[in-house]
Amino acid sequence: MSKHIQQLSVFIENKSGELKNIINLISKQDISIKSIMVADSTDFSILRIICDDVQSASNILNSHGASSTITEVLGVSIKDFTGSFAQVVGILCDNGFNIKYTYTVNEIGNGIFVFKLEDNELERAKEILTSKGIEVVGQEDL
Amino acid sequence: MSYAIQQLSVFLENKPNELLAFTKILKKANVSIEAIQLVDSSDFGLVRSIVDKSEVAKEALHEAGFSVKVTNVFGVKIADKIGSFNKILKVLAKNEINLFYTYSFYEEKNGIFIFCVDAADFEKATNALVKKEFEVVNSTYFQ
Amino acid sequence: MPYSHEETLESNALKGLQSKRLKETLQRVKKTPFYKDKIDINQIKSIDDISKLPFTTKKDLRDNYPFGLLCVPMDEIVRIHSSSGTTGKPTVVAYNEHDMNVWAEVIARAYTMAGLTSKDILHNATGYGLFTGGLGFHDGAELLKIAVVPSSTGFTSRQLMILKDFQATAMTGTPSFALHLAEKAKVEGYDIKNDFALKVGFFGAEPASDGLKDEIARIWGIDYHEIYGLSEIVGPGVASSCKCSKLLHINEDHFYPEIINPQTGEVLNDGEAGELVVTTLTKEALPVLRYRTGDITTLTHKKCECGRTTARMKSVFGRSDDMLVVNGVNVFPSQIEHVLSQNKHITLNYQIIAKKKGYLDKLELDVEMNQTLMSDDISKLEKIKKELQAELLNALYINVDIKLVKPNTIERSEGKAKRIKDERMS
Repeated sequence: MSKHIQQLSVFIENKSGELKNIINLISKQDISIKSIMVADSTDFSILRIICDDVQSASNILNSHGASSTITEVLGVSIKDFTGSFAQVVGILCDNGFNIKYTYTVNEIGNGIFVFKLEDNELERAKEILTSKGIEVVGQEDL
Repeated sequence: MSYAIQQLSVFLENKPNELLAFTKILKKANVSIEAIQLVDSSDFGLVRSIVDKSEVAKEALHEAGFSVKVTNVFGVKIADKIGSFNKILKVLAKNEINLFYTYSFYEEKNGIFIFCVDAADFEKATNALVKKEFEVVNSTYFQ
Repeated sequence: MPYSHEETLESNALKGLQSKRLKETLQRVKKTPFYKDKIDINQIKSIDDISKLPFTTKKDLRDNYPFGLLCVPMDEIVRIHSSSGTTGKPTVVAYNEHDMNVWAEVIARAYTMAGLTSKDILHNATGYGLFTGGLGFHDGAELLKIAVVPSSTGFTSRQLMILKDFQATAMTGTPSFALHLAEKAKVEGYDIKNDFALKVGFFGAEPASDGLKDEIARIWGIDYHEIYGLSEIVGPGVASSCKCSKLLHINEDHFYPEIINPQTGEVLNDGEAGELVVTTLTKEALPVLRYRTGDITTLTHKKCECGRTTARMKSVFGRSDDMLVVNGVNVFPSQIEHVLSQNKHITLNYQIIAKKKGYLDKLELDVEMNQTLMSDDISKLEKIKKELQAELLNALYINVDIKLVKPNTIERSEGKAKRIKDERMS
């Protein structure tokens, strides 16, 4: 595993049909989407997508005038949901990591939790989690 | 047939360890988290979770001083993710359902997509999806 | 009985007075760097020659910011006010003691037109501060020994409480505030007809249809009077309505009115709609010649039943430029553009939308999202919005709602961009 999970964030206005239009654009390409999460704010939302070809997704969106950006996020494989999630959150917090947001990714066989940390913190987080026997998942593992 | 799944929304200050405190309480109450989503906003975060024992969770969180709100959401089982997710959005848009947010999670062999719509549109949304032969999970699914 | 005898002069006497005062004004301004080379005093024999004088515009005031047009030393100045400018700087006006007396006098005329006496209590719900509104209404009331309650704007619940407890018999404010206050009174369980002692209201600073004025009069059970003015001339008090109609008597012994075609500058006749131009005849600190107000109206010299012989104007019903009035505050789109151009996050793809929120006005600024602004961090985006809102509040004195919209949705246009959408009904 070389790269962390590449998450695509897309700006959408809180108007009806906006989300559908974006999803439509991506699904027309041959891109496999692993997870979708809509984070809503006052008058807009940020659509966060994890897929197997983030560059193509980004290109198709940009060519249609959508605003998007690619962010690196930490993926952690979790076997048993309850215990492990609390355990991972515990390790991250004890080591001073600030969890900006988190959500789950669909993967047959496993749960993968995605954590957004501060920029540049991913490598250190990966080291610490791995040393505690917790599996960190990267973009190629999806 | 009730499709309303109780989602707990908990307000978290953007302070360190707030999320940890939340997960610890649920663990102590022996509540299993089926799906969880932490959303960042301006000066606070919102944890949305679906658990197996929502009443127990609510009690435990209240006692620990957290602000908890329960929202009715519905879940749709999807085998193939993209195509169906797109189709679901089409059904909702056609019926003029206002979608607040959505997230997905893994459950055994399936993906489940959770949708939060305007309370007034809830029945219309679930009926429309059932009619189009989508598998909307019933409210006791996670218990 | 009118407050001043000048309100009932027969036309020759009035003309004579105006001619005399115009010549005095020209003597005052001829020494200023701004007017010196623009006027030829010998050409002006009477008030009828006024169209030979040049116009003065808001830009002239801006170019001479802050005190370039002053005709007296700062030592003599007793008050400085400012109002909305078109860029980053406000428009500045200044008064000496004589000017302050004129100002109070014209307001006193307005109150007298409505029948107020020293027995009355005036609830002054017009904003105090740099704007001329609040203090203008205030000083005129004190001249008539009316008890003034300087409640200014905001804090609606408290205003209702003191309106009832103090039993004010008159009030001032904007028409939209009058409606907002009435609605709030209803919500808070007041009995409008019995809890309050209001007989008269003085409203202005924003346009209002005849129907709206009648509605306000009906809801509050009061006589509706309008007071018109602008800071560059004196403040409120340039004109006011009497009991006879909705037309406003212009205090033309102090402020000489003309109506012009805003494109050509040609002076128009009574009844023809055009831009109101006003010349101050008695101001000493900052006189202005043929000032272009930007307000569209008509004039009439027909007799009025109240006996006042001064010319009357219709309530302003348009603008010759793109200025907006939002809850009584003048807003120039160029002010907003100025703030945006200084903000490093925002591109210049934006649109201003004026809306109604209940009875009050609301300004919304739609800003396009773009690749530079785009971020995964919602709190960062919200913070940028909040900062922009604070910058606009500082510049405009009003709150603007900021809304992020997706890229390429705001109309582009060649030439003058269609920056403003006014969705309010008049």
